[in-house]
Amino acid sequence: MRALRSLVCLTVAMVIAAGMSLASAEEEIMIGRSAGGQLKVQLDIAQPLPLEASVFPGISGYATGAVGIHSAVYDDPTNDFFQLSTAADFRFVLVAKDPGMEVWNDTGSGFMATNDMFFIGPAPFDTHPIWNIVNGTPGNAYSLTIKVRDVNGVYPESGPFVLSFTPVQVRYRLDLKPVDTQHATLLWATNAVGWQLQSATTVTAANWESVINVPGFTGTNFALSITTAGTAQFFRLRQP
Amino acid sequence: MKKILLAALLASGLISVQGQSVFYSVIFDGPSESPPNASPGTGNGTVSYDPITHLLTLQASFSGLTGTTTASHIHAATAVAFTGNAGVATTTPTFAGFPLGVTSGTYNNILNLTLASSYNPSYVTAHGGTTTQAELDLTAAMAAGKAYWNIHSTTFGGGEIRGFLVAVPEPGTFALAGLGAIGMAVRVWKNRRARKA
Repeated sequence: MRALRSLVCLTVAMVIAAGMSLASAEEEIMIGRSAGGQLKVQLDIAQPLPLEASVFPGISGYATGAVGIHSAVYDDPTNDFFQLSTAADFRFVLVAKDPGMEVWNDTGSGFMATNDMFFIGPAPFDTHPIWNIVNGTPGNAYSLTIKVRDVNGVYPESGPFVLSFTPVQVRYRLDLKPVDTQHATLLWATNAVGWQLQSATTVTAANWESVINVPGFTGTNFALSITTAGTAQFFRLRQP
Repeated sequence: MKKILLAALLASGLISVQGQSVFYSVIFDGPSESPPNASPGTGNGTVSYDPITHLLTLQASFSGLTGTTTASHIHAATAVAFTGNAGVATTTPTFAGFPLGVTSGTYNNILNLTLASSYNPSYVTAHGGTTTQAELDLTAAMAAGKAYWNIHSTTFGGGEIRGFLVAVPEPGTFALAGLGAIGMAVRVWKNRRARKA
C-alpha cells in the first residue's frame, strides 16, 4: 500500500513536472535551380522557426543545428525546381542580420559577419549551420538574410531570402514506468541535454536536490531505476 | 550420432529463422567524409534490416568529435559504392532522439521503414512517392555499399564523421560454417573408427 502511495505521488509529480516537448517539424532549406538556370530556394519551414534553448556548450541563448541546407534530390517541373549541376560549388553569403540573431561560421569558431561566406560544396549537399539567437525575447522574431553563391560560376547568385526565428521555452516529458511493486523506471528524452533530474520529498519543496545516479539508456530515452518503497518522492526535470 | 544430427537439424532450423535480417557495420571517421577532414573523432555502429518486419535497427557509439553534434542521418544513394555524397534518406531534421550538443555518445533506435516518418520526405518523393519503393531503394543502396551514416557537428556542418554501411555475414552464417566444421569432424572420426574396426 505504501509503495502504491509512493507511485501515486510520483505520478502526480510527473504530471506537474511534465511538459510536452515541441514536435520537430520538417525543417529544410532546399537549394535547386529553375529550368532557365537561376538558383532557387525552397523553404520548408514555418516561419518564424521556434528555437529552443541551446544545448551546445559555448553557444548561449537559443540555437539549433537542425535546420539543414540541402540540394534538390529530384526534378520537379511543376514547380520549376530542378537538381543542381555537380560542376557548381556553393557557399551561402550572410547579407544581413537582426541584432541578437547570429549564424556560426563553417568552422564553428565564431559568428559570421555580413558578407562572410559559409562553405556548402558541390551537390549533393547537406550542411547544418548553427542558427543562434544570442539575445532574444520569446514571442519576438529575429531574422537573417542570406543568398547562395556558386563560386565556380555555373549559376548566377541567388536572390536574397530571409530566415526568421523566435525563442521558445521547452520542457521535456518525464515518464514513470512501474516495474514491480518495489521499483519503477524514470524515462526522459536523450535530447534533454544539460537538463537535471531533481527530487524532493514534497512537491512544494523549496530545495529540490539533483539526482546523482547516472541514468542508462532505453532507445531514445534516458532511463533511471528508482525504488518506490518508503517515503514518497517527487521528481522533475530542470534546466539550470 | 543421431542426437548430434538432431541437434544440427534443430540448429539449422533456428538459423533459418534468425537468418532473415541483413547486417551492416559502420566505421565512422573524418577521412571518410567528402570532403575528408582531419577530425580525431571516431565511432562504430551496426545497422540491421529485417525485410519481414521492415524494421531498421540502428546502434552507434562515437567519441572525440571536435564540435558538438547537430544532426545525424543515413544518406543514399551515392553514384558509386563507398565514395561520394548523397541526399538524406532517413528522418529529417535528424534521427529522433539522437544525442545533440555532445562530442561523444551512444545511440540506439529502430526505424519502421513502412512509416513515412522514418524518411526524409524528399527521399520518398524522389523514390516513387511511396514508402514501399523508398524502402526497396534504400535497402538496395545499403546492400550495394551506396549508403552512409553521417554525424554533423558545430565544426563540420556538412558532417564531421561518417561511415558507409558495409554488409557483414549474419551470425547464422558463422553458425552454419561451424556446423559444417562439426560435420566434417564427425565424418573424419567415423572414418578413423571404421578403419580401426
